[in-house]
Amino acid sequence: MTNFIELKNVSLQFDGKQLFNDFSLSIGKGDKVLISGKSGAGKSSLVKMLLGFRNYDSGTIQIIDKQLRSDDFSDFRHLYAYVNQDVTIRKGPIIEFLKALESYKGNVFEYRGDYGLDESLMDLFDFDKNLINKNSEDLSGGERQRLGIIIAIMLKRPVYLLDEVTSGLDKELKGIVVDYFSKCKETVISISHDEAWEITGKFRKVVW
Amino acid sequence: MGAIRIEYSNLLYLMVLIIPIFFVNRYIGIKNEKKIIISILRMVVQLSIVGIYLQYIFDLNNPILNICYIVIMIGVASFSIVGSTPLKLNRVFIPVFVSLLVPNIIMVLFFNGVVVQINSLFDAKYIITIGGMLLGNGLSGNIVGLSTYYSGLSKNVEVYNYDLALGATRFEASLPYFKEAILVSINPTIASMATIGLVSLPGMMTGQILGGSIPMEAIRYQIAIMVAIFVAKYFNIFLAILLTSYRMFDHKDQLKTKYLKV
Repeated sequence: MTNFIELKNVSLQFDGKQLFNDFSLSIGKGDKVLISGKSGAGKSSLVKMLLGFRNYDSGTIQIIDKQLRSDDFSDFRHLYAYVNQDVTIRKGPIIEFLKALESYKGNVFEYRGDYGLDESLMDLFDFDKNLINKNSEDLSGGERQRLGIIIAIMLKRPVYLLDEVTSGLDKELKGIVVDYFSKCKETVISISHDEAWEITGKFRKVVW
Repeated sequence: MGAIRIEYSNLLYLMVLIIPIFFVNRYIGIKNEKKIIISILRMVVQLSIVGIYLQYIFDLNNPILNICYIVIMIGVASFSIVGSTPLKLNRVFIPVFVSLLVPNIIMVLFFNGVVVQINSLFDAKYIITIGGMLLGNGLSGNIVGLSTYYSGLSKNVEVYNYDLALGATRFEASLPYFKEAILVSINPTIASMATIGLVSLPGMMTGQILGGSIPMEAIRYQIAIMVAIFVAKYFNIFLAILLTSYRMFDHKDQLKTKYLKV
């Protein structure tokens, strides 16, 4: 299988700490990767480097044989469906945020019906439809995570970047989320401490 | 006709009234006597110098000299703005300078040519006074606006990045902070237009009445200057954010934090 995402000899020092030293990782199309390991090791930084939110000191990150270049970062970002730890949706009505997502150039996100979100996904992840009428800051951690996950799926992008997306969910929901991502056809890169991911046996574990 | 001249000696009487403040200060434990004295001295010295050279400039009334004077004022204002924001001077001086120059020059010429309709657009008495009022307001607006925008962005870097990841452009992702910055800087001007005259008489109007204008004349100038200030200030801050943005983000749409003061 051809490599889809390839990190070669990446080094990164952040806040005076050497997080990555000649770090290499190859991820093929459709691969399921679980990034695990102790906190402070730079797991979130890895995802941020992929998204261009953090610069690395040396090495290369290649995607589909193209090197990350200065001029086309928005193209690269369109490969990733990212859910960050706190699902930092901007303050204000969620409905407006969803409409903005639809308006962003290059997005296939579609604002659906009365609730904006895909109904079957809301049902699957037990997301209360009425929450859509609230402001983002009024949602609980678990509600935000489910909203972030549903948005990520609706973006229909080839790579999921999931940063601790099950930390605020109960056991049953964790199972549903993990099951969904272990069976989907897209590439999944998940950062998590949760055993639920590991016990599926579907994920290649990466620790450093 | 004009206002009665105030003698320098009479100004001293007013200064005497500062003394009770020192006693009250001492009683409640505020120690800012030095600051008060220095500020008053600076005001006296600065305004005396301004009085002298404005007299020269008004006597000469040379259009090129007048324009130069305005441009220098804009330069000084730009220094002052950048000094009071979280941005580093060498990075954003030129964008801030341009953001003040363009709207204020256009506005002052529009004011002189279209509203007042004076014969010489660059007449010192108009261009320097009106320009100065516009600039003073633009200065405070830009400080508040730029500070709000850049501190909003740096405090909400996760929110901003999440938006980028979901497909927003840099402009779309930073729009909430852009909106907030504009509102915070122009809201005081909107509020003062709504209450003007109810509580206090604005300085310009007071000056004109003391100078001999009838109130009905003075209010027209006041209305004109308020609208001029509002419009110029709006475009000042709009341009300041837009133009500094080009120098404050890298190719990955990330705020260049090394150009922020710590």
